[in-house]
Amino acid sequence: MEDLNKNALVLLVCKRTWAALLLVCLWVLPLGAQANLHLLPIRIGIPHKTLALDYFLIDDFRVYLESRMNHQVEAVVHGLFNNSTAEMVRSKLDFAWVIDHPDSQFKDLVDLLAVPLYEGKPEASSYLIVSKRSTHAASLGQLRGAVFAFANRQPEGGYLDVRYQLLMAGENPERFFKRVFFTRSHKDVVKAVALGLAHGGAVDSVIWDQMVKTQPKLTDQVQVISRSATYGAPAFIANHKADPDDARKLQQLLLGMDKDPQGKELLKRMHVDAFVPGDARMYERQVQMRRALGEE
Amino acid sequence: MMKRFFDLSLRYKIPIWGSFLIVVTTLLVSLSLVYKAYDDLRESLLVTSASLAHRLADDLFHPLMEDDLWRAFDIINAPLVASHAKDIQKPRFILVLDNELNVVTSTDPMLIPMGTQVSQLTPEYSMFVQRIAESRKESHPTYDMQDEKNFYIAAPIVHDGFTLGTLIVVHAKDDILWPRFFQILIHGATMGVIALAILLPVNWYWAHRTARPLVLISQRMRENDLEAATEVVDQLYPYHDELGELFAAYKRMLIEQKDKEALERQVVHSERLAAVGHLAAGVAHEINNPLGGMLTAIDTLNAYGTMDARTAKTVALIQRGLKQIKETVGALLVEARVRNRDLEPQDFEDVRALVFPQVQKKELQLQWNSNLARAVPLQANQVRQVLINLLLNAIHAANCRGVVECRVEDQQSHLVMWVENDGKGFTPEQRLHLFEPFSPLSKTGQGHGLGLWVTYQIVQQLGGKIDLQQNDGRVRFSVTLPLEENKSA
Repeated sequence: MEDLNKNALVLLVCKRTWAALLLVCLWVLPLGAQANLHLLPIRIGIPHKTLALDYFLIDDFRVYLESRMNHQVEAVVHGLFNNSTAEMVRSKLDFAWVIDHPDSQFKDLVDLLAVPLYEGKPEASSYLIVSKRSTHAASLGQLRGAVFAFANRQPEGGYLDVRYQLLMAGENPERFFKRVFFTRSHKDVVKAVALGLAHGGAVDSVIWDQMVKTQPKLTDQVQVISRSATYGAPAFIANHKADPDDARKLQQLLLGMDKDPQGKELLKRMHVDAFVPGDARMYERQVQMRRALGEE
Repeated sequence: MMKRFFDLSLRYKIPIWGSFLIVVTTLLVSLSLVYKAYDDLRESLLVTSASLAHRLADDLFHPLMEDDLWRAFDIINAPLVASHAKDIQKPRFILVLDNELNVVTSTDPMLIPMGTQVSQLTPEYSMFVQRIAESRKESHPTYDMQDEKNFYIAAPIVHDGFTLGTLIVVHAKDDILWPRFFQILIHGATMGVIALAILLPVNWYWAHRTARPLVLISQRMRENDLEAATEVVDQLYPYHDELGELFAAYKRMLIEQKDKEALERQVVHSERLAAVGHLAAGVAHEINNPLGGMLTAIDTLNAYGTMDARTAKTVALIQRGLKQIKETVGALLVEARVRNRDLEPQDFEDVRALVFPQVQKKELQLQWNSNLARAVPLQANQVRQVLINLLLNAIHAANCRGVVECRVEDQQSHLVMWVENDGKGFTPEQRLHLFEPFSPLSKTGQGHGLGLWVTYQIVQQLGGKIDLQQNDGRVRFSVTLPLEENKSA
């Protein structure tokens, strides 16, 4: 920026009046930049998993946050934000709703703001599903050599759980299936299994429970054969670089959403009962599993 | 059977032929259009399908390269999703083969799961793949093949010359081509029916117009009603094409024949009149000679004999009877009298004056036209008698307060006279015996029924001609007398 200004200066140096004007500009610019910091939007990463790529819901949530925080809010969604803490830190987002908290690498760069309650508990689990038509497997062990679908390659949820179980059963998690593919969305895992593209898949329990109600035709073709142990629900975290005031305001807002009619309506659409402060201990099991898999 | 068809009346044959030709033409045109539409449809299906295959193959390269199976499936599944269900180009299914000819993914994974060898599929695929392999050197963008059920279109999944596999799009003819073809067929049939609905009535009308005069004429000919046949020709076909000329020729022929018949009738009539005249004259002469003697004898007896009252009375009776016979016979015997004098315009005025009391009696309107301004070489008393006879007849026949017209024209070589009245005309039966003595038409009236007979005889003697014309409720006797011939005579 300064280089540019210098170039401009060279161009204009012959005109003294212009030069004087430019000097004033150079003096004012840093001030303007400082002032603009408060005008920049708050960037919040929203994983498609938590809100199931419901763009209306994501935008309504964004608008809600914007109006309550009295500050412009930018929602960064799927494609730009890959649901992870690392991504949040690298992309310099202010806040994010991540599914891999706590990430050991960035543990000290983030603060836990809030955790959602699903059916009264701050935890989630995943289902192991198989196609009713193409396989007769009744357990994970019988899916050897199958084609398996995951939503994404995140160290959490179904992907973590299935591989951990295989490891515990003495299998090589990376060689057990003939082929593994990622659909990017939990709904598409169900679809892939229903269509027979994959023999089995791992899907988030919250999203599956929603789909049973909204898309029974699809879920009817699929059978749940096991449920994973529970793990901590996706956490709302703040970047240390974010404005502490904003972080405090957002935390208060999230925790109070279930007391606000409009917030309650949004929570209902997210299938979340409420946001609670959360506890880092909830995530210990996940950390252990990752360690066992050699990913920590 | 065929003979029976050709024996049919033109009334049926023309429309049937016309309809047959129209139906055949419409059918041929519709069928060729349907065939063309079907061909176009097939062609456009192949073209759009090839472009679809090409596009999908382009999109598939990166997902396949990155081993992103779901993305690859999403790409090939997109053309088949329900929202495009109405699209006629919707493929039956799409599959992706790798370079080892294993199925990477297909839109129906249940049917064709991942890893299936092409050789495990229906034989068409192996054939198709082999054909693609053979023609690969020519680097076609797409390949196509069809069997009786499906179209197969393939495109290589290639980027910068690096080939990852082959995309095959399969279209079911049952799903796409046949429904569309039937749609086209129904469309074609509808158009055909509309064309028939327009053309058949037009054909029927035209055939009717052409056949009707022919049919009517042949019908009249069968009934031997030539008069009616002529009318048919005039009214029903006023055009000048070959048919019109034929009708005109036919009409001419009819008229000529009619004229000929009329002439023959006239000749027969004249001959009969001449024979009757001859007979009458002969009889009259034979009667006249003894009659003259008898009358002379009675005159002598009256002059010199003495008779009592009764005898005298008887003789007078006989004398009166004989005189009547003499008058009658005299009337029958129209003798060429000695020419006394030429006819002058004054003679017509005299005739007018003579008949005028009769005219007044019936309160008739007498129209008199004469352009005769010179004396003509005709026997005045004979012409006068002719005119008087005709006028008295006309006055007698005319309606009360009706019209009688007399016209005399001097045409240099001829003198034409005609007498017209507005009375009842003659029936054809009456006309047949018109100029005969004691003819039936005079029986109801006064007189001895010899008026027209005498008139005819006089006109004959003068070398002229007498005719009767009836039209517009008018009865006209016209007399034409030659002047020159008479002069020379």
